[in-house]
Amino acid sequence: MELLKTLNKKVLIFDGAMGTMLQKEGLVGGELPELYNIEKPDVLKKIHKEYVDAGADIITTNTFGANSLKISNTPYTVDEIIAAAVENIRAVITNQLIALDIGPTGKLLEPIGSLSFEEAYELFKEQVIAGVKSGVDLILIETFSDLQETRAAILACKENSNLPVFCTMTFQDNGRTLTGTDATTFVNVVQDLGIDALGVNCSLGPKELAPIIEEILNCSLIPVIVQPNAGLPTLENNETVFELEKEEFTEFIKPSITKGVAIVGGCCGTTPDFTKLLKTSFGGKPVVKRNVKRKTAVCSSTQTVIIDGRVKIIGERINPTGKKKIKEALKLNKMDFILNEAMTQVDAGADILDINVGLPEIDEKDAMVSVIKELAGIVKVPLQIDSAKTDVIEAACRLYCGKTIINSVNGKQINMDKIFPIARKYGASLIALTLDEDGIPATCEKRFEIAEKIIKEAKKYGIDEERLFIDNLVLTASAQQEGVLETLKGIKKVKDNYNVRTTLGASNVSFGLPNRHMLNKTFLVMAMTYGLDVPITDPTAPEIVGHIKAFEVLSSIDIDSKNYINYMDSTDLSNLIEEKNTSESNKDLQTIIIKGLKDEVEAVTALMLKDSDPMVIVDEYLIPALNIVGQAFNDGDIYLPQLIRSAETVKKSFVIIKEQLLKSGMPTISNGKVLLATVKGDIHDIGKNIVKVILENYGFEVFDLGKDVQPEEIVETVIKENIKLVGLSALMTTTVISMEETIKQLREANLDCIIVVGGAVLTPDYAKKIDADYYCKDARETVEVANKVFNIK
Amino acid sequence: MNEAKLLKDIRKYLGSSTILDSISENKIGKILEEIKHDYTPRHIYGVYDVSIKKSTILFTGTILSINSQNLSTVLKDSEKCIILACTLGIEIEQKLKQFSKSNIEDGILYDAVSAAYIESYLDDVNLKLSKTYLDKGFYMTMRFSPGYGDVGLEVQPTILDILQAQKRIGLTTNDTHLLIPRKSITAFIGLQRTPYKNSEDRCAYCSIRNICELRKGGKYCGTTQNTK
Repeated sequence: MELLKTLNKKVLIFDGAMGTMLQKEGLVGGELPELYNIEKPDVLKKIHKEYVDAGADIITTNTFGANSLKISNTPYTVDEIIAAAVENIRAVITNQLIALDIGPTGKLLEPIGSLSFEEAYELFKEQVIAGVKSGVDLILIETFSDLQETRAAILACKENSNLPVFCTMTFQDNGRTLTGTDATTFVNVVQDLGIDALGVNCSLGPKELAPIIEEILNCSLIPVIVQPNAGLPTLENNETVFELEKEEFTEFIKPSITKGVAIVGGCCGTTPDFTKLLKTSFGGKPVVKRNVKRKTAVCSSTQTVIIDGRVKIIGERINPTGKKKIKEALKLNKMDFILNEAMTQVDAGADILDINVGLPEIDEKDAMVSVIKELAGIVKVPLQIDSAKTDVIEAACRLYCGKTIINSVNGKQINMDKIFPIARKYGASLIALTLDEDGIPATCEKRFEIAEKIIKEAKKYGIDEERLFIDNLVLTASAQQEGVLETLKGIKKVKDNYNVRTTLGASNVSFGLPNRHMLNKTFLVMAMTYGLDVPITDPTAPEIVGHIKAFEVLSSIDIDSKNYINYMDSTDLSNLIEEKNTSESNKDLQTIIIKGLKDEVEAVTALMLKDSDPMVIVDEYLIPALNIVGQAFNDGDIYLPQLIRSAETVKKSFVIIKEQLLKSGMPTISNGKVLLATVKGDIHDIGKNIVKVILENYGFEVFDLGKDVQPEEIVETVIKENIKLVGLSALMTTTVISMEETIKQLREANLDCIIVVGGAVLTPDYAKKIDADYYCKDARETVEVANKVFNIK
Repeated sequence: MNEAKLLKDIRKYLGSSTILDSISENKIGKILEEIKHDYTPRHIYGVYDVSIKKSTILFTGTILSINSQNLSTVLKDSEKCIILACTLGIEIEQKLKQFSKSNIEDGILYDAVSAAYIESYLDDVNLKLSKTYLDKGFYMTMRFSPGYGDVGLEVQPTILDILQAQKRIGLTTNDTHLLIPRKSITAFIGLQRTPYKNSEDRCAYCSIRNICELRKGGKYCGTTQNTK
């Protein structure tokens, strides 16, 4: 371990390629290289020895794919393969270090793939434990493309070993990994997870990697490792050939070494000759010092928001407190609604979204986990985790792929003792509330004292000032008028003394006074003048974003007013469109639906509701229009896009009508509950989504479980929601089998439900064979069946 | 890129053999531009000597062997076979997911455009390869994908392993051997010394040929379904 003490002082040399070396020794395509550890140990020893002789300081085990998923069809266990791999190195080394190699699982993680985060974690954990047992000196996590999978591997290392961890990801020529993570985001997300070095390997040569390496060197606070390919591969006479010779390879790496790379090696196509030249050129030379200052970064898996002077907005709308619709959505697990709330805020200008799902009636942890899973797959901006419960915060931090902000920690010792360890472990930043055991102090000075206490306590956990957002807690002006200015002075004071950032929930100040919005906007501008960095506010509220843009002009942050001008140009345009829409709102609702004018339907519906019964609108306008469109589709006069356009127009009208019914205390429209799902193993959901929107149009309440759904989940939901009609979809011959299994389980559970099936390879006969009640060839037929089942005329 | 064929394919996926309404056509145009601009299709391939014994095809230098009468027929005169994989990548999945929740109309348009686009990209790759190999004295067979005829999807994982597709282009399979990300294609193309003659039955290798309504009516959808 002596060698590791020189990490980041002297340049360390890693060995080179294994895969391409094994191919020369007879490894054929599709064969598992890891089996050679046991079946051809002499080949491995020979290759390792060549790298030792070439001067490598660290030798990597041949265990890239040694996880129990990939080796499931072999007679060996992960333990056996890793033990043999380590022995093959131990037999040939003198004072070199052994690095346990961990590559990706080979499966894609949720939400795009089906492997869960915890399943991936378990696979890596098994490898780490085997490596520790075999006595490796460090762990190399390498060639990862998926940031979430990388996090799973790092956590598995940190929770199951005390070994140093090096971690590299693989980037494409567009500067991103195959799953869309850029180098800056990669660095910011993983460097606070307690690893010892990070960097890049594989996919490209040193020349193409140079800008990516530079980006990493500019923001990484820990040592940087680089293992490029021997240039780009080409296919010559059925063989993959890499373009660079060792001299060019070394020459291209040199600039990165002079900028501060601490560990260097090779990937695909490199050989011991490359290692030898790297050793003589760079080995043992002092690592060039970099002067990297920590920035306050908040990240999703594909985006980094730097808090550096420009005001950034944290959207506050996903929070059930005082919001009926969000409460409803959370209770009924209606993710679509929450997702739309998220997207609306992003469109309005939110840079980060606060997620709070605390409701006494629901399991907050479950709800938080499902909201984060859902949003992280779709929304690009970073998420902030907002909860009063430690277990909820921990579960969310573990799952969220990014660098999040925990909302919040406060000055109570017991609270800091619980929250800081979570932030340290998952690399999160924190909002720090200036309150303690005695409550919220009245004066700016007392709040500053609490802020100082929190900042000092954070340092004990290695959490720098840049990772803290101090919230000086504004009270309502109606109750404690003089307190408002104390809050603002507190912002300035804490920023004058520490390199922290500041935040505020900007909407509380107006509580209890008329025209709250006026007060909120004014307060926001005042707070920004005192140095507020990230207000937590509602970006969709009128003029909030406009005020921030204007503030940035007047305080010389928005140079030449460029952002302001752009923003005003775009919003003026949308105002014009809105005006135009209302001026034409005398169009007939039926025409609007047939033409699919989604932007106009809400205004017209609202207008009609002023003097018409909601049910009359449904029966005399919506349903007849739908029937006309349906018939036209059936006759081949219109095609799928138009049908769906009309259907979504109806859906928007329905939302307004339902709100009216809710307000007036009338029963809401439900012709019956229908469950829809694409069965396990199948990922085709277009057909199912079409059926969903059409069923909703006809007043059915749809429980959409999505795609790749386990039979057990379907059975459970049918029981829980007392569902009478179940619609299953499968597109492939292979997945019709899981459709059959789902039906079997529904029947075995003795449930009183009718099952309807659809999908490209199904026929009425086949549907009968697998015990379905109905086969429907399209959405229209499904509506007919639903009408029959629920006795709708 | 053959724009005319691309547009025709998009319309076909949307259930139409003619031009759609102007709103849809405009949207398709915009989505196509966006996909071209924002997403990078990637492909990889390898070339292998092939030998066939009793309908079992062996690919030299790999562990792959496929028992299939259909693929044997296609490759019967081939000396070599190209194994090819391409994908539009994972980022488009996020977009498709977003629309499946918020805007199904745009969702189906995106789905159709991206499916046709990756197909069209593969056509271009195919064309380039056919020129390269013609210079070397080879003619290409039809492009045959897993899921056609009697070749099941269970060959997908091995194909991806051979090409190291997960590492190189981020292409994987799920438990039922479907390609993930979804807008992806794998295929075999034989290389032979004489010009290749297509099967006279256009639906020869289609997996739904026995239940296809179009085929019963004597019509042809213009593609081979691989829903195996």
